[in-house]
Amino acid sequence: MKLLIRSIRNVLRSPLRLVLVVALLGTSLMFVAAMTSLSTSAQQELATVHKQVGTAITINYASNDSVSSTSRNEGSQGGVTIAGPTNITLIPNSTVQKVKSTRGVVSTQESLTRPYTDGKLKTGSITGPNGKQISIPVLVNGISSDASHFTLQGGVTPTLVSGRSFHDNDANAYVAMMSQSLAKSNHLKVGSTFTLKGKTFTIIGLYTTSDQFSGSSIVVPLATMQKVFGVKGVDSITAYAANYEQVETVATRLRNALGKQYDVVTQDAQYNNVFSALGATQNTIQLALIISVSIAVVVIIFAVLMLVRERTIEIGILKAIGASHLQVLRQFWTEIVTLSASAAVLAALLLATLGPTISQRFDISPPSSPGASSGPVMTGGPGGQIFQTPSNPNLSNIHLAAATLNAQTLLIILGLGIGLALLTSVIPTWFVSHIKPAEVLRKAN
Amino acid sequence: MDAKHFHLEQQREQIDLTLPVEPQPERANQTLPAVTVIAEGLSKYFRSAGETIKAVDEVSFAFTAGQFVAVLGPSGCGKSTLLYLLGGLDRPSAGELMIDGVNVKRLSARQEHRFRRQKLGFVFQSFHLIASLTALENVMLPIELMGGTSGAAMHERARFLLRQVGINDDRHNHKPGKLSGGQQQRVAIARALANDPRVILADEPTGNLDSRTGKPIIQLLKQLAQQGRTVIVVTHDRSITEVADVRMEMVDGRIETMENYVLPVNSRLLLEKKVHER
Repeated sequence: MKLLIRSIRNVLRSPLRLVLVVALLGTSLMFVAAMTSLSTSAQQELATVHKQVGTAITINYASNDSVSSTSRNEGSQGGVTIAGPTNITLIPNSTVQKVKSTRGVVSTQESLTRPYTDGKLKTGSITGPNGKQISIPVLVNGISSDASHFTLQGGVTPTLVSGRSFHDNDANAYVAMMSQSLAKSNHLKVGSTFTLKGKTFTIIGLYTTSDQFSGSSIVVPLATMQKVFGVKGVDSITAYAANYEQVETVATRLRNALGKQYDVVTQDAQYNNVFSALGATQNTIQLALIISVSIAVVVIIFAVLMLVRERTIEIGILKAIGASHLQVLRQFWTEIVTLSASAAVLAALLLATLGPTISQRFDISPPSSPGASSGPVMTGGPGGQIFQTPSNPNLSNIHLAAATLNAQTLLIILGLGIGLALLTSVIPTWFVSHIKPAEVLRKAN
Repeated sequence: MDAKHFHLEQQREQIDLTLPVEPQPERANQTLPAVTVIAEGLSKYFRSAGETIKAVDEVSFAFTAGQFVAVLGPSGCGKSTLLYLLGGLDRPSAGELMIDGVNVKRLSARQEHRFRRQKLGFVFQSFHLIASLTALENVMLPIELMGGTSGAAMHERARFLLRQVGINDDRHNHKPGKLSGGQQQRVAIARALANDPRVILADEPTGNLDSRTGKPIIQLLKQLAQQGRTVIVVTHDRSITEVADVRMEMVDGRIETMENYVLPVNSRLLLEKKVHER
């Protein structure tokens, strides 16, 4: 008769208890695996967000904040608001130079956006949430010809589909890139011309975007735009630090250099919602992880204690008929491993079936954030979102990877199952070494 | 009667379950029965509430193969404690004990387990069979603990022993809960015989049985003694004392009387003097 078969039969002595223990232990193991997986996923997401958005520092005039803030609020209610240029204080070019020369700033992106008001280009429209057709005004964006980043509203990076982008010698030229949809609406192509503020611009490139709000835009060299619109500055500047760790240091330097009339905001601050959402999710996951591990430990300790305590006489008899400590212990160890293995199998099955559902419960709920568009929002002007930071994360796109049965989670289940079995094997080891058969048999008789 | 006899030598040849027997000078003399149990000044003391309780107090005796010994006495006189000392389940506080040529006091923990497996068979009042195992598996268990025997051989020997103690084949796969008290005790005796021990220790073997079912158990134990084993039975049962070769009565941990007892002349006892003094 094999030891394993005898152990399985011993474990099966009390089917109800077996079912309860295996169910509780299996569920706990499954939760531990799921929570570990989700925790890893949350950490990865956090690292990704840090990596993607962490190095940008936005600089605005302090008085412009209320304007852009108002614009966003109105926009979020479903309307279309274009912040006008009239009530905006521009950041002078001297400040731009000061930012560029600040130690730790590796690149900058100046933003100047104005609505196209000539009325000669045909604009597009989209259907709003209330079914109404909403006209999308054309926005003119100025970018410096040496800009290392080129993004449009909502953090959308345009894709050049024909022609070329700006060269250094285009800094003061009347050249433009245009969204393909706007060009199509107006029967324009690369090489075509259009007029802006009385000046004739030649289209040198066409781009597409994944965002319909950015699909009605024109991009011209910053210096040319300043000349055409008669402005001597920019709406906002985005400076980039070399890495995430240096962001706060560089931001402090910029604050010291620019004074209180400028708001120097790091992406960290702008994306507090993202970080706090991820942080809260991580905390919840870790709490669930601790609870799951605790339950698993308590359940198996309880089960093993029961397993051993109720068989004190049996241990005494086994010793009386000549079983060594090791022989008795092997019996209990096999039973504990059988219990843990059954729970691990159940945990794997539960994870395979319920993992995605559980993951949804712990996923990030998207709060309102600068990157989270929830309607036909279009903002512009200083501090607006036409030129976003290169990878402004949309929180609604941040999701934790579903906890599923894979090599990692299977290893967690097996590892913890075996670990718990090893941990709790101390109980029978202690019992068996302390049980004196004579005393047990004396009491039993 | 012949059918119920154990043919031990033949049995050993069949299933290759020969046990290592330690050398005993006494056995060289073929005319005398081997001395299997020697106790000299054997004592067991317990401390309780600051008081020393002498459960077994300097008992000395020697028994030979083939003797059926009944240990009598009132409850609490130390009979069971003496049995546990003889079985190596308790360590003596003082004195010497030799079982089948082995000085029990000098055994290490590991040797002690092996000693119990090889030299002794236990029969308990409450049978103490493992509830989750069948009758057959209960008998196979000591052989399995001993190791070195194939599954088929273990099976064969267990079946043989069960048949010998009067358990029919159709009961072999029954769990203890499905067997009567008498049948359970028979299975327990078969289990005690599994490794062919020289000494059988029985603690009130008929205590949980009525006189009708108890009688065959007594006969069975008597047969075991007649086959060359030393059978020591702790009991209150008068019917056992009637068939016993030696009747040893204990009072307050000491041997009060020894009926029919003759000190084996071939024993190497140093306690001869002490025994005669009593």
